[in-house]
Amino acid sequence: MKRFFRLMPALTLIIMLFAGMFMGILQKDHTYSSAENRMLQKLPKPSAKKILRGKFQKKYETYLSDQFPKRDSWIKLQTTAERAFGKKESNGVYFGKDGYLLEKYTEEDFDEKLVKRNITALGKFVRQASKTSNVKVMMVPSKTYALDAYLPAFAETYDENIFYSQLKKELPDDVIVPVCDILQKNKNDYIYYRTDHHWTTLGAWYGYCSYLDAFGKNLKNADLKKEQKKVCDNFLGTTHSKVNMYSQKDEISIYEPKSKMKVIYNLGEKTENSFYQTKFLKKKDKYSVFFGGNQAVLEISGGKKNKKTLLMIKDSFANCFIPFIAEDYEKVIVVDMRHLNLGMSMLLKNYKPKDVLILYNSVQFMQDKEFAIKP
Amino acid sequence: MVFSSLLFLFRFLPCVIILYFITPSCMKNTWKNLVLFLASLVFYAWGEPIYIVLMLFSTVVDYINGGLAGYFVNKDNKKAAKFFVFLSVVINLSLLGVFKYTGFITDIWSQITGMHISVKELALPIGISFYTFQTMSYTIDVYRGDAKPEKNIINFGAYVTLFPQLIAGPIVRFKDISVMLKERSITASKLSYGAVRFIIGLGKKVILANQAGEIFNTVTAYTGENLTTISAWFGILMFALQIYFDFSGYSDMAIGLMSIFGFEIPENFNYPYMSKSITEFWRRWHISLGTWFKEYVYIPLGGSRKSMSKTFFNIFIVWFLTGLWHGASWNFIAWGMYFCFFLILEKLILLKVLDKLPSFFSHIYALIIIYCGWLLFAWEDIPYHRIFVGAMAGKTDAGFINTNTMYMIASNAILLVLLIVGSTNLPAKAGTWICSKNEIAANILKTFFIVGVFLLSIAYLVNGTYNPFLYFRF
Repeated sequence: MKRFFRLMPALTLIIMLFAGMFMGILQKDHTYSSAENRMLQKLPKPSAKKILRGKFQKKYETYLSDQFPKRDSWIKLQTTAERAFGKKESNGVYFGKDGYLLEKYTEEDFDEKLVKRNITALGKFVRQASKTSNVKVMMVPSKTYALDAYLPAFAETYDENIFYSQLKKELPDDVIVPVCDILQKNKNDYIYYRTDHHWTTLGAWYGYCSYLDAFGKNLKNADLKKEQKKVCDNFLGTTHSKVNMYSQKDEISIYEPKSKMKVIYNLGEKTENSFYQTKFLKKKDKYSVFFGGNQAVLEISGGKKNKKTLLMIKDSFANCFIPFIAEDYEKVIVVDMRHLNLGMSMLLKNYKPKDVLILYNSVQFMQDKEFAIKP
Repeated sequence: MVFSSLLFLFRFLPCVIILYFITPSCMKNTWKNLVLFLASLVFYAWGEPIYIVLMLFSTVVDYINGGLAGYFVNKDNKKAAKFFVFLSVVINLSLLGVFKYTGFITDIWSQITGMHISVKELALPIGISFYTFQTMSYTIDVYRGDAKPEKNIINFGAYVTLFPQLIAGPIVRFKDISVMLKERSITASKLSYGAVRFIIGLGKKVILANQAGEIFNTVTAYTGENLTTISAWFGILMFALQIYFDFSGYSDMAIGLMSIFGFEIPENFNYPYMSKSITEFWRRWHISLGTWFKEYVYIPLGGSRKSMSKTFFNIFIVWFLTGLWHGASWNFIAWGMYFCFFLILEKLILLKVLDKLPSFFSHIYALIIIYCGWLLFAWEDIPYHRIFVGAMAGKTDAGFINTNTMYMIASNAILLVLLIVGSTNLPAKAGTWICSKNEIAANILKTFFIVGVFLLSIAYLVNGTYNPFLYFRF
């Protein structure tokens, strides 16, 4: 008996080594990792030449690492261990307070020339559109910047104020909607997803309030907040994908407008009576419940019969914002320039909007490589 | 191939273990040694298949030289025996010279003469610094009569190529192992001791050393505005800890694997950061290298038995070579000379002073000298030394400390404590104390320890792209 116990540590190690080997050999190989969003190395074919040059060996080691049984769980275990070691970030994501995962941005994440080019192009378009329409620009701050109170101690992130002051210099007065202020003021509310870079429907509602505020309208719609309906409570978003660890799941809420709305997708590709495509709630990419993700052009009608048209030029942050604003216009044209091969001035000509709203997330705007080339 | 890889743990090692244990130990372990010999060749060839030729060349040449040296020693023909020792040393040092020092020597040559020679830099065959030293020890031991020449080339091949200590030591002298090559027992306690030791080493390397190394690399990459005085000090501290955990972890794995195969080989580290003097540090750090130089260089030169000046000259030679052994670069020679200076100083007066001081002060003295030594060792390029020494002395635009530095220290405080405690003998003492109570409970605890550290190491390996091995370049 004693002998067995004496052998136990060695036996355990040997069993683990063999278990790892056989599980690796017997399992079916994966071709793609959805968590990492990349193709995985397949078993390389050996040849004398490849072996002599060491190429086969290198690929084989990548293969072992890529196809390691339960790879995702191991990565989760590692990240959890890192947290236990007191590490405050992993793969460019800070472990913030209250379960918030916050992307870390540094100056290297932004190309100064590109930012400048985008700002100049925006200024040019705003001045052009201002001749015929009321133009507003809404730059939604990144989660990390708006919720910097949630950052771990001493953690630093890119100061977006640099960008906002550049923007202020370029744009006419009263064009910028001070959405950053209202969000920072309400940072204790659930305004950004814990595990995704987007703002929540509540965050977008605050954004909507500041939009109305900018037009000098009094906030009759303040009770909209109450009407949001939770549709999902197990959302793990893009920030979570970067770190892949055990984390608190997010809730998604939606706002159902009172009147019946009509949405024409991509110039007649399809027509629906709802803003929401609930089938996405069962998939990984749950934020796409709003309009099925980013669409090139949406034409929304059914709001107030006031003959007013709104042209929105936007990125994904607008998707949960649109339902609030849609009721205020007879027609809303929503355009995602990244998916449309058309200049912005053409849109003005075509739709003759009363109001124009440019809604972007600051980081996505600064990094947008196409914005400036579609004047 | 390195031990801290999925390939080694989940393909190579299980295959070798099963082959080794189903092979009978008859014929004085020849068959088992053959398994080890062939496995070692595969292990060695994995990264650079061409260099397997080098390995076989070394094996055959030293087998012949050692055999002939032994033959002539038996015939009492010392001169002829000496010739073959000489031949073996020349061949081994030439191999080292060609593969490790060519670039360095031609650089010096072109600096002195202004003549530019372009030589194709050869990839350094892994472990060449270790196995050439082992094979030299073979012929010398045979010549001195400390060991009998090995007649069986399979046994000898197994000694030269033995994969557990092939690429990073410990440098096992032939006389330490020659008997075990033929007669060794595999017992339950040896197996389990080996398993625990291997896992300790794996954890030290994969969980601790790699993390420390990442911090050191971050600090090295800092440009002006982030390299504060504190971060420079912290970075070097992390290097000091990384190199200890990396290297001693590798030695632990080697000793553990050898124990699983039934061998007992000498220790390579003995808590070097607990030393009270530099003399003591070098008795605790990379022991097998120190022993090698002492036995095969220092003592043959006359050691300390002759005049004071001859002793100092001998110390100088040994430390020049020790420095050079660590790498073909001036900074390693400077590092050797640095220790040479303190060793002579200690021999002259300092040791007597240190003996009288409270041990706290002698610990501090030794740690500061060792710490500053790593400053020389950490980089081969001169600019780094200047920038870091400047920053540590306060000459940096970034100032004494900034938010970035605070963040780095706050994120790594737990790691730092683990590293510091782990480099003392406290964990070993605690382990021995717990295990002395009840054998069965001790073995159960060891099993849990193995499972825990193993799983965590695998998690780090699966996720980690950062898994270098420092002593590879030596």
